[in-house]
Amino acid sequence: MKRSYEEEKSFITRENGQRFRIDPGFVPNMKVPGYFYANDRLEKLTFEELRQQSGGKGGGGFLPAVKQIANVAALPGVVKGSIGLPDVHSGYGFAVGNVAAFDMADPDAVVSPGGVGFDINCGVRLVRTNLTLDDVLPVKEELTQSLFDHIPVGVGTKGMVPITAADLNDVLEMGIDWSIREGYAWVEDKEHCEEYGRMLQADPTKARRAKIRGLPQLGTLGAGNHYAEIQVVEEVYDEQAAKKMGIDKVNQVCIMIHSGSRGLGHQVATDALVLMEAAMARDNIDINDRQLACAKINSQEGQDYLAGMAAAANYAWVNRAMMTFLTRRAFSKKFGKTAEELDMHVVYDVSHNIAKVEQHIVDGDLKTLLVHRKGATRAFPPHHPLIPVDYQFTGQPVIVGGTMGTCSYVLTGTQKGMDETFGSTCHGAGRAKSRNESRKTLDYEAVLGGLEKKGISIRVASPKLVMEEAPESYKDVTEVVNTCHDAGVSMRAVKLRPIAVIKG
Amino acid sequence: MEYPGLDHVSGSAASGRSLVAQPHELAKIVGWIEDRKVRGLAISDREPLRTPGPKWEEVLFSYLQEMGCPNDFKATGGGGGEPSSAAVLRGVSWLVTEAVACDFDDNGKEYKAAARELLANPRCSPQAVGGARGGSSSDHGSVQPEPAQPTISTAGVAMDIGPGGEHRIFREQLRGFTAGVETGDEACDSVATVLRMLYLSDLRNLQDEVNGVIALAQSTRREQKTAV
Repeated sequence: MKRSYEEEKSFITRENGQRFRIDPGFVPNMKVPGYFYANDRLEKLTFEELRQQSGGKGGGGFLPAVKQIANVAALPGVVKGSIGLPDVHSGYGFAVGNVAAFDMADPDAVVSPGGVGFDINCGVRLVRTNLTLDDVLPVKEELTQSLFDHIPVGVGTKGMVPITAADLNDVLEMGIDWSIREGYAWVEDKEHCEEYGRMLQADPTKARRAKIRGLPQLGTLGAGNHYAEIQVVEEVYDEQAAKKMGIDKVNQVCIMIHSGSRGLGHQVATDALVLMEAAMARDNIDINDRQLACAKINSQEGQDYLAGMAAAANYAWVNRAMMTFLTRRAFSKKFGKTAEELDMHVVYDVSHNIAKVEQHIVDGDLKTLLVHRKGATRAFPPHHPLIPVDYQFTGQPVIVGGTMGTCSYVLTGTQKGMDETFGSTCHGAGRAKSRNESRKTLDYEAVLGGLEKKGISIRVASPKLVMEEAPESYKDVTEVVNTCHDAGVSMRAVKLRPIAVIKG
Repeated sequence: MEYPGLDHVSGSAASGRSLVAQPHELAKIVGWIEDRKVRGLAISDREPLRTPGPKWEEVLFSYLQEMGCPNDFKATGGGGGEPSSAAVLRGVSWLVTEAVACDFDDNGKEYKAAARELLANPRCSPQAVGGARGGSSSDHGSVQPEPAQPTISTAGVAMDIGPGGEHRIFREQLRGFTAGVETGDEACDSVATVLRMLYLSDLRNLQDEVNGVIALAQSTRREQKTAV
C-alpha cells in the first residue's frame, strides 16, 4: 500500500537541532532506526525528494535518500542505526553519505558492495606548500596548464608511469608501500594516509578481471567529480589544529587531489554484485532493494569481496600518490625548487568509499564492526590509536572537497562523532541535481563565466562536465560542513578556496 | 644511594654484566644494600650474604626469595635452565629497585623538599629552560608556587616548556591540550596531559627513526627519474 507524503513524514522525528530519526516501520524489516543530519535548508531538500516520490508517484531512477537509509537499516546484522550525513543523496542501493556498521560476531551480518560504492576508496588528499597566493598569481595560468599537462585526466586516459602486470600485482598488494619502494612517494606520506595507505587483507587474485582495466589507468585522475585543485587558505577556525597540519597562514597555497580506483574498483564491485545475487538466494538473505545485494561477511563471496575491495583500495592510494608525485614535479619545475624546499607534504589523505573493520562501543559494549562508509569520511577523535601521532591532540583531519569553484574545508574528528556516527562525517557537498538535469538546465559558457569572475583558472577535458559539476548542481558545501560542526560530529579547522581547477 | 665502593667497580658502572664478573664486588654491594637499605635479615644472619664463595649464589637466591623477589630461581644453572650469571643479574637488579623503594620510604619527605627547592630555583624559569611558549617574567613573579605538585613541574621541565613552581603559567600553556581522560582534578589532568605529550614526543622520535631506515632502503631502490 502506498502512503501519502504526510503519512511517510510521520515516521521521521527531529531529535534535536540537526539530528533526525527515521522510525522502524518506515520500510519493512527495519532492525534499527535510521538517522540523518540536516539544517533547515538541507532538511527541505531531503523532504522535497521524499515528497516527490510519495503516494506511488515514483521518482525514476533511485529511491529517495531517506528510503535508502531506512532500507539499509533493514539489512541483516546492522547495529545501532543507519546514518545519513548532511550531504546525503540518492545512490546505488545505499545513499551517498550513508554510514552503516555490521556486527562481525553476528554470523548473519553482511557486507554490501553498494555500501562502499563503485569507486572503491575514492578519496581526497591535501598537499601543502610554503608558497603564498602572491607567489602563484603571476604564474597561475602557466602553473594550471603545467598541472593539466602532467596529470592525465578524462575517461579512458592512460597513466604516464609505465608499469607491468607484475608491478600491478605489487601495487594491489602493497598500496602506498609500493609507491615508496619505487621512489614515487615520500616515506612520511604514508603516515598521513588512512590505514597508512595499505590494507593488509588485499588479495590481487580476487581482482583478476579488474586488473585488465587498472593496468593502463594508474596515475590518472579520471572524470566525473574528480579533480585536482590549487587552493589557498581562506580562513583558519582552529589555530592549533591548523598549525599542526602546517596550513595556518591565510593565502598559503595547497593542492587538493580527489580521485579513486578508476575502472579497477568499478570492476571489482560489478563482479562482486553478480556473485552476491546468487549467494543471497542460497543463504535466504531478504532485502528491500535489489541494489543492496550483499553476502554474509564470513561467506566465500563476502571474504572474496573484502579482499578484492582492499586490493582496489590499495590501487587508489597508489593512484593518488602518483598524482602527488606528478604535482610535486610540476610545482618543482615551475618554481625552480625541489618539492622538499617547497614543503610539499601530505597533510592527510582520506577515503570516503570504503568498508573497514573497526571497534566501536554499541549500547555500552565494545564490538568489532564492519563499518561501511559510502560518501562519508572517517573522522576519529583525538587520542584514537588509529590516527597518526602528529594528530593525536587535534583529532583526525577530514578533507572535505567542495564543488568546482566553491570552497573546501579541513575538519577534525570528535568524540561525539565517535559516539553518534561511528566516527564519521560528511565527504563533500552532495548532489542536489542529477547529471542529466544539470546538462539540461545549465549553460556551459555561463558556468565558465562564473568561474572566471571568481578568478579561478580551469582546464577541463570534457565540456559536458562543466555543467554536470557546476556548483549549482550540488548542495552548498558550507551548509553541509556547518551542519556537521553544529551537530558536533566534526569541527571546522580550515577553509580553503580554489584558484585553479583541473578536471576530467 | 651513596654506595661507597662505586669507584672500585671496574668497567662501566652501568654495566651489570661487568659486575657479575666481579663476584667479590657484587657480594659487597648486596651486603651493603641489606645492611643499609633493606634490613630484612637479622644482623647475625647477614654474614653469608657478604661472603663470596661457591655457595654464595645459592645464598643470594634464597635471600631474594625471602625478600619477596618474584623471579623463579629453581631452574637456574645447568640442565637447560637460565644461566646462573643471568639469574644473578636479574636478582640483583630487582634488589636495587627494592633498595630505592626502601630509601624513598625512609627519606621521602627530604627528597620532596629538595625537589621543591630545586624546582623553585630561578634557573628553572621558562626563560632559562629556553622552550617556553608564552608567560612573562611579571607573571612568573606574581604566582606563588603550589606545593605537592612535583610531577607537573618535573614533567614540565622535562618537556622544556614549563617552569618548576609556576603552575598557573604552565596550565595556561597546556590549554587546548587534553589527555583524553578527565579525573575532575585539574592537577591530575595536567600531569596526564604532560605525560601524554612526552609519550607522543617519544612516539614521534621513534617514527622518525623508522622513516629514516625506510628512506635509506628507498635510496638504494628508487630510480633517478623519480627524484623531484
